[in-house]
Amino acid sequence: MEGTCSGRYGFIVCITHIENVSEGIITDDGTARAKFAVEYDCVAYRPFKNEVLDAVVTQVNKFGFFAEAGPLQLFVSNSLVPDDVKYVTDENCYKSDDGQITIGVDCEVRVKIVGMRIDANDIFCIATIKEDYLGLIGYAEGDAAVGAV
Amino acid sequence: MSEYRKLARLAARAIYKQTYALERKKASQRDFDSAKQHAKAGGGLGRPSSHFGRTQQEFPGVVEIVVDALTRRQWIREDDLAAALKLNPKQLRRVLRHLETLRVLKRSHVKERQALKEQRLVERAGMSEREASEAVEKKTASWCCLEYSRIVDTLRFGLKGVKAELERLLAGGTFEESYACKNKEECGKRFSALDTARLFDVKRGGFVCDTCGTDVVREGEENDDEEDGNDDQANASSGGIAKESKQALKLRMKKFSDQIAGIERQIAKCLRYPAPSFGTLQEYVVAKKRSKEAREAAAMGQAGGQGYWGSIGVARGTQAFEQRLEETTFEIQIGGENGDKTTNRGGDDGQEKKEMPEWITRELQVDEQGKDAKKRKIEGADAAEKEETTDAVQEQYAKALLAALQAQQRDTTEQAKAKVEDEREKEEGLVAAARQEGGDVEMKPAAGEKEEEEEEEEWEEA
Repeated sequence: MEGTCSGRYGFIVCITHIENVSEGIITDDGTARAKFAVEYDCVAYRPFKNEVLDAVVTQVNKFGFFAEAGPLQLFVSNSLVPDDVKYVTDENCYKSDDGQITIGVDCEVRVKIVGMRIDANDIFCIATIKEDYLGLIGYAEGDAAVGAV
Repeated sequence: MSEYRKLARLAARAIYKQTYALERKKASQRDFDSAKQHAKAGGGLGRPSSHFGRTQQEFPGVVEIVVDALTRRQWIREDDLAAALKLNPKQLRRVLRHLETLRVLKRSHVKERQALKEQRLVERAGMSEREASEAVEKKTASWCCLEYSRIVDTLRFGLKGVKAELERLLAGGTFEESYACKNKEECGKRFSALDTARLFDVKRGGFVCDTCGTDVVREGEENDDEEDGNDDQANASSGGIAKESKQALKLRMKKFSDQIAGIERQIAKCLRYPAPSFGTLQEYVVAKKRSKEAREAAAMGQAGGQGYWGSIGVARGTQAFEQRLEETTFEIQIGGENGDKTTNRGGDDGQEKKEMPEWITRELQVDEQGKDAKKRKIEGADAAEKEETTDAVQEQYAKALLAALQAQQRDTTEQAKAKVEDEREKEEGLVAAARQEGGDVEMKPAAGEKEEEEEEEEWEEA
C-alpha cells in the first residue's frame, strides 16, 4: 500500500502498524489469489489549498516549472511567478531582473498551493511563488557555491 | 438609535436588498424554466407552476421595511409582524427565510395554544377549560429576532472575502490559466493548468496536445506567434483585453471601497460596544415574565407595603433580562437646561428665563419687561434700591417703569417720524413749518398705532 494514493486520504507514505488482518477470500477470477481486509495505521499525506510547502524543481519550461514535494507533483505557471522573474531560454531557468534569483532544475522553492485536482489515484496541484516569503529557498547541490556568491 | 441598529439598517439597504432581489430573480427564472418544460411536456393548460408569475412582482424594498421594523422590536411573532407591516405573511416569511440564510436573524418555532378557539369551545360547547385545551390542537407559531452580533460578524467576513478576491484578481493572480492546442482546425482542444502534468513532453520541453500531438500554447498568446500582423482585433485580443479588464477591476475595486466605506465606519463604531442580545425565545419569554412580575411587585410596594418581592425590589432573573436588552437612555428637557420655569414664577434667581407663550405667563412678562428695561439702564439709578424691595413693590415699580418706558418710546418714535418727515420735506422743497404742523397732526394716530405694535414686540422679546 505504501506509495499509493487515494482521493480520500491522500498519499500513503508509510504503514506504521497493522491492526488486524481478516481471513482471506479466494478470488473467483481463476488466478488463485486471495483478498484480505487489513486494518492498519499509516502516515498519510494529503495537501490542502493554501498550504505552504517546500518543493524541489524537477522541470522548467516557458510555461512555468514543475516541482515535487515528496510524492506530490506541483506546477507553478508563468503567471504565478513574480513579475521581475522571467524565463531565460538559453539557460532554461527563471531569473530575476537583478540576477539574484535563479530558479532551475533541482532548486528548492517554497510554494503555496492555489489549486488542486484530486483523482482516484493521483493528486496534482497548482502552486504560486508570487507572495511574500515564497520562492527560492535553496539552490541545487552543484550550484551551492554560485548561490552563495 | 444604537450603532448596531444603524448598521442593520445600512446593511439592509446596501446588501440584503440586493441579495434578496437576486434570489427572487433566480427563483423567477427557475419558475420560468419549469413552466417551459411543463409546456413542452404537453401539460400547457393553465398555470403550470403555482408559484410562476408571483416572483416577478415582488418588491425588493420589502427587505428594508422588514429589517427596519425588526430593529424596533425584540422577539416578535411573525404573524404579528406581518399584521403590523400590512404584509402578506407568506411574503414576509420569504423575506425572513432569506435573512435567516444570511445569518441576520434567528427564528424559533413553538407550539402555542389557541386561546380564542378554546374559549369559544368553553362558551358554546360547554366544555371545561381543560377539555377545551385538549380538544384544540396547538398551532405552530414562528418567532423571529435580529441577531446583531452575527450581523457584524457576517458583514465583516463577507466584506473581507470580497476585498481579498478583488485584490487577488487585481494582482493578476488567477491560477486557472488555460492552454489551447495550436491545431485549431482539426483539434483545438483546450486545457487548464491542472492538466499540465500530462501535457508536458520531455523531448520537446514544452506542452503537447494529448490528442493530436500538436504544440499547446497559452490562450491569448496564439496570435502573438502568428506572423500576419494585419489582424488588429487579434493583436488587441490578449494584452488589450487584459489591460482593460485590469482597469475595470481597479475601477470596480474603487467603487466597491467607496460604497462600503459607510458600512465599515459603522462596523468600527459597533465594535466599541457590546452587541445587544435578546437570548433564545425561551429565555426572553421567561425574563420578560419575571420583569413584569417584578415591576408589578414594585408598584404594589410603592402603593402600600413591601409587595411580593419585599425590599429586594428586583426579581431574580430580571437583571439578566435587563442586561440582555439594550440600554436606551432618554434625555428629556422640559423648559430648557434650567428646568421648567413656569414653576419659578416670581422667583429671582438671576438665571436666564425661557421664552414662553404670552397666554401662559402674562403677568410674568410684566415683571420680566421691567427687569429687562432695568438691565438696559434706562433708569439705572433706581435699580439698586428696587432690588432690595419686596415682590409687591417690584410689581408696582415694574408697572411704573413700563409706563415710563412706553412714554419714552412714544417720544422717540414721534421724534423719529418727525425726522423722516423733515427729510422728505426738504426733498420736496416745501415750506418746513407748514409741513411740520401737518406732520404732527397726521402722525398722532399713526404714532399711537405704532406704540401698540412696538409694545407687543417688546413683550415678545421678553
